[in-house]
Amino acid sequence: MNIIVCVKQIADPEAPEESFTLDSEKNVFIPSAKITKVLNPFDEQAVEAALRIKDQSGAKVTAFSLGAGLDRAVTKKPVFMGADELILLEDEAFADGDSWSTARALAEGIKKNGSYDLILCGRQAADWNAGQVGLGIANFLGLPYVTVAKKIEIIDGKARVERVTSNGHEVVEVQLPAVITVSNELGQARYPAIKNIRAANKVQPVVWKPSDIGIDPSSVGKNGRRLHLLKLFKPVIQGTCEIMEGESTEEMAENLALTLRRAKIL
Amino acid sequence: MLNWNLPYITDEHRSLAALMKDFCEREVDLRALNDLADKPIAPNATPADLRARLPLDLLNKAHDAGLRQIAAPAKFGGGGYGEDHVAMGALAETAGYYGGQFGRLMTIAWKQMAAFEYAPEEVAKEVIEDFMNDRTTMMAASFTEPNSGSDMLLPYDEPGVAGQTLAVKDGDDWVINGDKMFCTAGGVSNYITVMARTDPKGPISKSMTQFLVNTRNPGWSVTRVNDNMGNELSSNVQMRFENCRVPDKYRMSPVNGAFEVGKSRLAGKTAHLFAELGWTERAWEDFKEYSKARIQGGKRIIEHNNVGMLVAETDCLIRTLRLFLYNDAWEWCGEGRGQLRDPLGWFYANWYCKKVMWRVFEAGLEIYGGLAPSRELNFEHFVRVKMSMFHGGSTGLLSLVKAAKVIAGQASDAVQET
Repeated sequence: MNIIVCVKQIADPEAPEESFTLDSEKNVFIPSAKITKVLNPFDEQAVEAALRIKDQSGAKVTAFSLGAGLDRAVTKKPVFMGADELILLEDEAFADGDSWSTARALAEGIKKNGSYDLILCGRQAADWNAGQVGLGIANFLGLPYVTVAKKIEIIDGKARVERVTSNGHEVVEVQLPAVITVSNELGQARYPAIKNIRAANKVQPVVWKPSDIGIDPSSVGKNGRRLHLLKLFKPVIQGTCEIMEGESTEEMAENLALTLRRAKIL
Repeated sequence: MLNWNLPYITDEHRSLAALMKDFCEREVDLRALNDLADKPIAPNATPADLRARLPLDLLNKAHDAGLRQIAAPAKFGGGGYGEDHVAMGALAETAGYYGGQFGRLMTIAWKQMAAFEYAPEEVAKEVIEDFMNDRTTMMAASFTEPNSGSDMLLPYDEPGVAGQTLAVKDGDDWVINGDKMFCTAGGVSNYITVMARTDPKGPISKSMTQFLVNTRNPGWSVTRVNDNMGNELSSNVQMRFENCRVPDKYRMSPVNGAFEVGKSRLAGKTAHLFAELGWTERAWEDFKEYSKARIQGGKRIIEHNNVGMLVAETDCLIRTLRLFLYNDAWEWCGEGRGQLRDPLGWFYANWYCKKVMWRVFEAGLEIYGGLAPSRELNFEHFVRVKMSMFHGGSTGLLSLVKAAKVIAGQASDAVQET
């Protein structure tokens, strides 16, 4: 079985405020050179989902990532966790894309790579949180698409998926090949193996540019965007403190509950 | 947050640090560890009581993640990173930053692996396999004695002075008698490396031999727990050796050659300093954030000159300490196993680390003001515990005394650290 997992390198979502700026005139996020880059946590769970299938029934897991100047310590993490191969779509032309141009490039890369049975993505990336790349890949490849999986089993050429719903989960079945996005309810991703980290230098990713996947550089990345960002700003957070009055703890608690209800928080 | 834009740090190091960060964020509850360490220690606490203070479940998980054994040789199933001092530094710093007390638990385990570079192969195999198979196995090193502190550390090399714990050959065994003073993790360890006098009359630097004592054998006991204002999870004890028999195969150095061997193991000790660096960086981040949130005099206190300057000064000190430690670690990587090296780097690293921590204590006290001693903050626990361990690896000033001797050409060959 061949499983593709798409993983994204992002700026650490926990990076302190001073490690980036927002240019609200040009609507651009500008990270400092020191900002730590990490693998999108939801994509780590997609890798974990793939590896669980590999552990159970054997599979070849190929990780794909896309961008410019990709950090090898970050993008190799799927291999450290147990993936078999890493393919990077790496070129300046791929930078600053939106969900559409990213999905298109990944879909072409996946086609070039050859056969696949299952494509996994994280449910969304923890930087822009659009959650559309998986959908885009499914659209470009003409595949069925299942979202927010918390469990995936492969049975007789089909994927049996437990999907997260607002009040629990539902179970669906989809014929393979298919695209499935993985949610954090899957559980903790495994740690990278020390022996794999130690052998990191032996891991040489396959690197493709736009011409390698038969795509015009002017139609990917920033030049291929279809989404126009109208406004990018840091919300102003103002804190106020209201002391709850009351003769007793119970009365103060009741006043708190009523205040929260009036504020439509409860 | 730690940034890894340092010239000595490779992608491999960053991957290891990322693993440690992930582990600490998932598994380490800082408050719970602090509370565990702060549990009162009974005056007559036994080794079993002291072991109950260890977060064995956490150590077990660290082993599952490959971290507990990362310094053990790969041929015994460990990570094999023991001699990559930059890697060990990155791991220790990250463990200290994100894990506080957990960082020190890790460095105690890692540092002891260095002791087996010179052990006979069968002894290294026996002990490291025990370490790998029994995840509660701990190791410690003991050096100073009730009447020999600075005398051992400087050392004070007059014939027959310092070091009263004696080891006498009896057939194929050595019989050890004496007391040892400050031993981190001594009360919870299965194996302790012990320095004992094998020449009763010589200068100490040429009269000590190192042995590996199995604490499950008769003749070893804990005589007192050093109950400090801030205790580490591993605790710190005084020990007695009474006719403690150690077969010669567990002799870890040439007879009377412990100091010579000890010199080339100093690099392994830097992991402790990196863990302290990480914890200090975290303390700095915490009071930096506090100073940006606390409003007094109509503005954030960081905008007041006195506070702003303290934050900036301690940031500068921490950055220089960090560069210093990684530079030293990188140099030590290039020295190779068993090579004697210039000890100045270690002496200065030990002194400077304590100097910076002390200044961070002072800054935190000023910045937090009345809140500084509050148990609600991690700061007070950090200060209590780190002050309690200021003697570790010798005090800062003693390290400078030794450095001065080296520079003046007065140091004997046996300028040594525990």
